[in-house]
This record gives sequence, C-alpha cells and structure tokens, in this order.
Amino acid sequence: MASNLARRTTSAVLPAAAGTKRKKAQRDRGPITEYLAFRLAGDVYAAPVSIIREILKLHPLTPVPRAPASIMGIISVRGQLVTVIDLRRRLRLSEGPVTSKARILLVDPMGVELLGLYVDEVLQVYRLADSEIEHTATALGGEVASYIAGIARPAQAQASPQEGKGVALKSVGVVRQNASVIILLDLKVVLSS
Amino acid sequence: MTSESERAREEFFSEAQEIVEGLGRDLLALDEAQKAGHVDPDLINDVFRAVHTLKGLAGLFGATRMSSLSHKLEELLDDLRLGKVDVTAPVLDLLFLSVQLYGKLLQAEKEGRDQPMPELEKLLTQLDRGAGAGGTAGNGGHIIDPNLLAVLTEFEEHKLKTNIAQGNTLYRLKVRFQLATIDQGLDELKATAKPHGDIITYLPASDGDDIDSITLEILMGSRASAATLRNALHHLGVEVEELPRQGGGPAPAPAPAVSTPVQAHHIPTPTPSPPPVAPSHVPSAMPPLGHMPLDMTAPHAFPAPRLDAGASIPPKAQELGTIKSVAQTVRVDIQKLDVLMNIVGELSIVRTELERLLEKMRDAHTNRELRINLHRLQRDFERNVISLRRGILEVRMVPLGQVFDKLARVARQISREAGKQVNLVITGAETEVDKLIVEELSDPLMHMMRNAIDHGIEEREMREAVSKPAVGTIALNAFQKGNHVVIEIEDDGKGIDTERLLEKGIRMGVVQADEARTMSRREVLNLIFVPGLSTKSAVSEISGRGVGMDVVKTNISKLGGVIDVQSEPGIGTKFTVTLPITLAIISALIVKVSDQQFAIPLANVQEAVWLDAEAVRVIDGREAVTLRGSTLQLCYLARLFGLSDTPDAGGTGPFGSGFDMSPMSQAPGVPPRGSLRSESIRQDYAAAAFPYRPASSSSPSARTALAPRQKRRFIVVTAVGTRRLGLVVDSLVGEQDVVIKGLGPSLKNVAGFAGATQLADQRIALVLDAPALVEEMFAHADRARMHGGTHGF
Repeated sequence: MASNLARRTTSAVLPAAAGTKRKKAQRDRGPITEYLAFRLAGDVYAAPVSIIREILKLHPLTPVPRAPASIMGIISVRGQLVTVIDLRRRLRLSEGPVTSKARILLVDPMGVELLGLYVDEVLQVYRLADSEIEHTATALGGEVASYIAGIARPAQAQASPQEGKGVALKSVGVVRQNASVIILLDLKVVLSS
Repeated sequence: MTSESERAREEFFSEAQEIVEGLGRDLLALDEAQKAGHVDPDLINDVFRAVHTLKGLAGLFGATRMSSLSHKLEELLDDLRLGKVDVTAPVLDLLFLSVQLYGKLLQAEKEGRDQPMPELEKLLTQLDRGAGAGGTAGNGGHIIDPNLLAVLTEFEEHKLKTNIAQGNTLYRLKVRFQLATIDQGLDELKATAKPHGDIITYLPASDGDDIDSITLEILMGSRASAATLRNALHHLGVEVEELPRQGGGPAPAPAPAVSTPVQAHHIPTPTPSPPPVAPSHVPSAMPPLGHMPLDMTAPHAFPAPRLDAGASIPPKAQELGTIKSVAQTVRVDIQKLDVLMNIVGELSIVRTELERLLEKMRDAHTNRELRINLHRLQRDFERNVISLRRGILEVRMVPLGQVFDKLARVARQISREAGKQVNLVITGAETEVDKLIVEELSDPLMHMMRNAIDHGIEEREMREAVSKPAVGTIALNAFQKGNHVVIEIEDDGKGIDTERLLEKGIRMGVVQADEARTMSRREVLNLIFVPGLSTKSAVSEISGRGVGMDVVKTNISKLGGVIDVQSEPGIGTKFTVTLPITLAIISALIVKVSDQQFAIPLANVQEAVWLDAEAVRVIDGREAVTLRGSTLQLCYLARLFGLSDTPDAGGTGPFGSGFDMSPMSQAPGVPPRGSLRSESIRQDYAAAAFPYRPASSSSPSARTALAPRQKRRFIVVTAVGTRRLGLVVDSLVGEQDVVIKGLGPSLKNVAGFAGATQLADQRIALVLDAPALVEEMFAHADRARMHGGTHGF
C-alpha cells in the first residue's frame, strides 16, 4: 500500500519538528515549499508535495479505446476509478520503455477529479526556498513555458531533510539524487490543457 | 472533503426541496378543495407555514431572491387566511407558478447562477397586484370604517390583523376624558382594559363639543363578550359597542378555534368562559381570567368558547408540545450511498478471492477442520455481503409519487393552457424506483403528459360529438413487475392516426413504399419514435403525437428501459415504460475483444449468435448478415475501438497482463494507434449510406450456418428501440451483475462507454453505452434530422 506521502511530509515543515539550525537556514532563505521530484524522459521534474495524495506502484491498467492519446487508461484505487495520464505524452516528451521504477502519482489539482500521473521514476522530496527558484520560465518560450512554474537549482550540498521519513518514501522506491536542474511543473496548466 | 458550511448548504437544499415539494402537494389539495367549494383554513395555514419556513431558510443562507419571493407570497397567503382574498383559480395559478419558480430558484442557487429571472420579476408584480386587489374583501367580516383604517399605523394595523386572526371580537369604546386628567384617565383605562383584551388604537372623536374634555374612540379586540367589557369598564364611564360584522363572511381563521368566536358573537356567552368540557389537548394550566397576561401567545392558550371542541389544536400549542420531528427518516446524499455501494463492490471482490483460496485449499492437503470452518465463514460473509447490497439498494429507492406529484401539477397547468378539462387518475404512486431513475424520468414523463393533453385529448365539442364524457381522463399507473417497474400513461383521446403517420414516414424516406404494405399496425405506431417524424412541423400534420418522442425514447433507453405504444382510433393511446428498478447494479454480458473485457448491459442485449464469416455481406459499404429473415448491420468492436483484431495480442509487461504495451513503446511523435485507427474506421462506416434495404436474397441465418472453425467469433445482437446492431466480439465470458461506476470528467468526451465496472478478477471492464453505439452507427443518415427538430427538452 502506498503511503499518504503528502500528509507526512507536510508535518515536517512545522517548526516544532525542525531543528534550530534548520530554522535559521529557513529564515535566511525565505519560505520553503516541498516539491516531489520525479523523472520523465530523462529529465528531472517536480510538483508541490501538497497536491500529491499518494504514490502508487503500477496497477493493472485498463486502456480506454478512443480516449485522447495522453490517457493511458483507468485503474481502480480502492474501488474508485482513476484516469491515468501519461505525463510524458501530455508534455510531448520522448517515451521510453516502462520499467519497474515507474509510478503513478495520485493528484487532484483542480479539486474536481482524482487523476493518476504516470512518471518514469520518483526521486526525492526537495525543500526549496523561493530564492532558489527561478520563476522566469518565459525565457524558454514555446508551448512548454506555460506548463513550467519555475526552474530550481538546489544547492548540491543540501542535506536531504527526509531522513526521518525515509521509510515512507523508500517503500515506494524513492531514490535520493542531486539534480542540477529541476523543472517545476504547474500541474493545473498541464492537466487542463 | 466537504467543509462544515458546504454541508450546511447541502442540508439547506434538501430541506428547501422537501418543503417546496410539500408545498406543491398542499396546493394540489387546495386546488381540489377550491373546486369542491370548501376550503379548509388549515390547508391555507399549512401553505402559509411552508412559505414562512422557506423565507426563514432563504434568509439564513442569503438566498435573496427566494427571500423576496417568500416575503411576497407570505403577504398574499396572510390575506388568504384572513379572508381578505378569496381562494380563486387565478390566485391558485399564482401559487402554482410560485412553486415552479421555487424549483428554478433552488436550481439557480445550487449552481451559483445569479442571472436575472424575468419570470420572477413578473410574478412579484403579479403578487403585488394580487394582494392589493383583495384589500377590500373584508376584515374577517368586520365592518370597519375605511377612514379609521386609513389612519392606523402599521403596528396598529398589525395588531388589528392579529386580533382578527385570533378570532377576537372587535369593540369600539367611547370615553370622555377631562383634558386636565387625560393621562391618568388613559392609564387607568389601559390597566382596566388590558386583562380583557388588546387596545388597538385610540383616536379623538370628531364630536367633542366640550373645550375642557375630549372624547376618545378606542378600537379594541377582545375575547370577552360585550357584557363583560361593559361590566369591567362601566365605572370609567366607557361606552362599549361591538363592531358589527357582515353575515356569512368567509371564515377568516387560520384554525377552526378561531372561527368559533365569530359564530359565538351573536349569542352572548357566559363570562368568563370556563375551560371547555372535553378538550384534553388544550393546555391545562389556565390562569383565571383577569390575571391572564395578554401577550402574543396568550390568545392561543386562551380557551375560547368552543362550539367544536373536538377540532384540531391551535398550531402554536402543538408546536410547544414537542419539537421532535414526526418523520422517522434520514436524508442521505446519494453520493454517500455510492460510496457504500463501492465498499460492497470491494467486499464482493474479497468474497470471490476467498472462494478462490478455498478452492486452492481443497487441492492442497490442509487441515480439514480448518477448511470447513473457513468455508462456513466464507458462506456467512457471502450472505452478509448480499444483504448489505440489498439494504443499500433499498435506501436508494424512492416512491414514484415524488415525480407523479410534479406531473399532476404539470397536467393541471397544461390543461388550463390548452383549455381542456382533464381528469388525472393516479395509481401506484407508492411504487419505488431508484432515486436516480426517478430524476431522469421526470422530463420524459412530463413530455408524454403534455402530448397526452395537447394532442391526445380532443376538444370538448369533439368529445361530445362522439358521445364521450366532456372531461378527458388521463391515467397514470405504476406497478412493479419482477425486477422492473412499469409506468403507463393512458389517455381516452382520439388515438394516433396510423395512416397519416405511415404517409409521413414514406414521404420522409424512413419507410419504403413496398415495405409499408406489409407493416403491422404496431410497427407503424412505432414510427413515432423515429427522429424524422417528430419535428415540429409534423405535429400539426399527423396526429401530433410526435413531439420529441424520439428523445423520450432515447432517454428511457439510457436508463435501460423500453417504451411501447398502443393506440386505438377514437378510444385512446397508452404509452408503457418499463424500467429496471435500479441503476446501481445491472446485469451485463461480459465479452472479450482482443483480450480486453467489456460489459454490455443485458437490457440492451437481445441474443448472441455465432458469426459466420461467410454469411457477411456488404450492403452499401456496410457489413451485415441476415438474421431471422432481417438484415443486421455489424459493428466490429475490435476495429471500432482500434484494438488488435487478433485476440491475445496484448503483451504482459510491468503493468500486468491487462496493460496494452504497444502505445507505450511507440516512438515519440507517432500518433497513438488507438484513436487514429478508430477515427478512420468510423469514417468508413459513416461513408456508407443509410437506410439500408432488406436483402431480397435470403442467406442462411448465422445461427444455422455454423461450420466448426478454429476461431469463432460472436455477434451480440443489441437492440435499442426498433434498431438493432450486431456487435462482433471475440468471445463471451458470461453474465454478471455489475456495479457501474462513472468515468471521470477527463473521459467525458469519449463516446461509447456508459462507465466501467470492476470484475471479480479485479480487472476493470468498460461498460458499453449501447444506445450511443447504435446511434453512432446509424447516425449518418439521421444526423441532419436529429438536429433539426428534436430539441424537445
């Protein structure tokens, strides 16, 4: 069973749970948001942890004939039908073979429908300060720009704050990784397109 | 997910809805009563209370338009219960209209729409006029000087109304005060008069001829008799005069208790009236007269001399008795039931899994006792799951009466508009159906009701000419028949003119001339469900039965129901709708198409036969076979859905065997196989011209021409109305009761599926939307007409 990742990680931001050193660092860097990083077609993307309800291993998936190409099919999550969207296809990225690392992120960004998002691999949770995010994604131009909420270059030395909650993340196959560039997705825009 | 305020809002809607529905029922009763010539004041009071409650609710939730409508209605109803306005047909029309508008307002409120509603404005103005016009009708029979009424302040007028409403007698007191001591004198008078009643107003009388004194006229409402008052006020030099009443005025009273004093006032009653002899329901703690504080509630608790002691309790006393709700029911959001049904579905899967494990244990050499115990447990579990499922289904059931009440209102309105007299006879209103079905059914039924009155029932003169009763009769019957519910709408009108219907059908090309000769009467009647024949222009040409009947049919088909029509010229027409009792669980045929499972609702399945590839012919570019002497168009599901035509092509990957790997492994940029292929196939089908002609050459039927072959496929004959389509599938898995779940909004544009269901083996099967598929296959030829004139709803 997948864990309720969103709830657990949010509690980590509470000052009570943080050490004094971290508190200090937080003051220096401004408000911090947690992002779940995942791999799509070789690149590292991330979305706010707060909107991710669950990380699922791949279920048996039922394809829906005549559905748009980016819809992989439907799965049943404890009796509820969930439409699974291939993020690679939605973002027009190249596609590779499905591996055992592939996961489905359960999200409900618009509050209207629970959706599953296919990703190649779930990486780790990043705590990113506003100062670490470059919001000028417009520099990229093209269609992609509208999907991108920002680009982050987290400090290489950033210690993962997830040690305490590693159990939850490991169980769903989280690999810690220091990426040089993380593309922060605006899922609302991605999913409404 | 729902917050506290959202839940409160939900409550508001269901409560308001319930009140509005109750209001509708009361109005119908009022309508009946008005026709019969005897209006029960209690009924008016019920209506008033409903509107009053709605006003309170609306105010609480900031539904301003509902508030203002309620406020205006309340004024009108207040006048009605005071007898200022009589209960007449136009007034009832206004009230019925209001109920209708309440429904609309609630809908708008729910959807957060805030557009202007011209009909509301119109109604508000009408209500203003309606209430104003009745102003002279009387003050509960009292004759009050209009000059006096004109000078009353609003508060005084209210006091006057209250007194009248309570059935108090009105007195005019005349008393002369010395100007020097007028304050004292007035105080004394007030103190003395207070125990006996309520001083409404005092005005200087015009006949004061003394400069040192002034004569005041005092208007007072009291339960006491004139004699009592005279006795009490005698020492102050007060003249007491009872205000005369008009004889035989309408009972002004909201409750029977109130009407009593009106009758009693001619007969001076003994004072002070003792508590009535028998009425145990009257509050017993009666303070003696004279110590009775006269506040708002007092007159109700006051035991008036009652000639009809057995009559109902004044509403206030009843309310004070208990605040417990009478109804032992709980309102449940249907979504909550869906959640429960979901859990039952999950439990059913657990049950199957248990069964499988037990089966395994039988082979292995497990402890026999353990196995037996487990088996018993499994059986218990199974039984409980089944009764749980049945229980939840029962909760979803509501009586058809809910929709029948609305239909009765519609019938009343339409018959007035059409100027026809119609008698509606309802039976079986207690028959229960799934709430969702009831909702979806209301529009089609309304349409049929409208048709029956507009086009079925003849004009009065026509009826009399053929010596039928002048008042037409429409029967609305419902009854349960096995797992189905049957609803009939039957009129005793002129019937459907089949000749003209056929004529029209031939002209529109729906029927071939040579075909027409062999058509049975029943087949001709069924033409009214054909889209082309139900355009507006056709209405006046043929019997007129056609308005939107194709839409009615489609909507009923969507519910898994069927509609049938019988008609005899000059005798009448009967529509019979047969529906499944519930939608939550349907019986379905599970089929396999290239290793993917699909469910086809059994309600749409006529039969399944083997496909003989040799017998397939191409007619006008469409593949068809001849089955039982008639042509059956085929639809290869594998092709339509862009699935591989050879079964077992699906790979097994990390997604499990149910996952089709091929779209995943495609190179980027290459369009996905599924959607493109199906697109081109749809065009292939669409290119073929319709209507098809029955083949003159008879080929052997598919069932008989079976040559044993390695890979046999099946035709599932799907019928929606008069149209049949042969769905070609690879294999039949079997029949199963399935719980249908809707597909999410992200899939709403994908046509052809009614939802999905989880099968016992955990796999998900898509449920085919048979009516949509049939329509799609047949659409090309009809499309133009479909969009031409069937926006009946």
